[in-house]
Amino acid sequence: MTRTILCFFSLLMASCIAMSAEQRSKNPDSGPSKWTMNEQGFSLELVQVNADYARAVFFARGLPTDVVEEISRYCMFGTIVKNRTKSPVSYRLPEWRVRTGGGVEHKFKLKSEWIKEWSAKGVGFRWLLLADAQTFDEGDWMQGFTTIALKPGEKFDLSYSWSREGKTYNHEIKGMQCAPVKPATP
Amino acid sequence: MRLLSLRHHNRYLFLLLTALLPINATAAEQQASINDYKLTQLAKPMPAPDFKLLDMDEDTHTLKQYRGKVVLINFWGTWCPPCIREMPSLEKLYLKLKGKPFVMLAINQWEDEERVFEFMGQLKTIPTFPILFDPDSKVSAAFGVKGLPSSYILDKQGRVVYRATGGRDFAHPEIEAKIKSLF
Repeated sequence: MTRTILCFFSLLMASCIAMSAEQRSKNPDSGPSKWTMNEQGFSLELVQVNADYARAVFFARGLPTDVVEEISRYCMFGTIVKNRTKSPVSYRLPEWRVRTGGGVEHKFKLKSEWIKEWSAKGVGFRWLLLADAQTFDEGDWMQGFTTIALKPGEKFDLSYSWSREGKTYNHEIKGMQCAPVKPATP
Repeated sequence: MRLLSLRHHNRYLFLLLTALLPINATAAEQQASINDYKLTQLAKPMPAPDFKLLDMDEDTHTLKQYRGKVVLINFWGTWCPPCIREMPSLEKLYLKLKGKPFVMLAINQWEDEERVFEFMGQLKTIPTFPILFDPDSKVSAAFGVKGLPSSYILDKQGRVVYRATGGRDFAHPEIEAKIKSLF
């Protein structure tokens, strides 16, 4: 667990390093893979989050067990979005799509959807997850978890978009994968 | 709150996570990006919503009481690595502007005094500015905060003049100059 947390934070910290257009890296110790994109001043970084880590993080916030168990069943990524230009950049997570085998399309489960479910259970927590949509001015950035209803280890292609100065940009990351189930230790 | 009782079961994990944060802060300071001091100036200053919150000593703070001073409001949480990374720079700025008509308020989200107090003990630089508690996140919602950290700089009339989404190096001379220009 300690190693997993250390490695996860190390991957997040590495985001500050200048990036080329597209990179994929994998931590040899803990295993989480990271995808990094930097296109037209829009920087996106996605780090696999396994169910154990998700469970630990949400449980540590004092959320009820059923809420924690439900969200930790989702395919989760630590997601960092940055504006690397001087002009405002916007993203809208509801427009992003995930394509699995056979061309089946999936949407992200949004922060607003989670909050609605949690509110119905009397839980007022509204942090940790990346906002559905945001506009970033120069220097702005944000990190948070994003969730997709896919199984551990499932592979997919991600189509995402962002806009700047009235123009919408699209990009695709092929061969992404949800965090696999952590193998049982002997 | 019924959820609070669950928090005590996670003391070990919490200590583990918080113990790692100073390591992160050191590395992150070395990797500061070129834009990490940029603030967004609002085209038209907006009146900030008033609030009434308690600090670590259970003293009450209202925003209104700081009218006539420049106020930096920082929304944060102990679980948020960039919040922790920018904390030393906030403290540096706070100490540098001590004695000036300037107030810094770090408004914690969702957590309680016990947790934050425990957390402070793990930091290399312990903040000396007021830490306020917004346990139900109503104040952050009123400010329109979508994620942590988020910061707002208010002029002497209590209007939001600058904002920053995501972590910043508040010790940067450009930020200090912007604040001083509001005195």
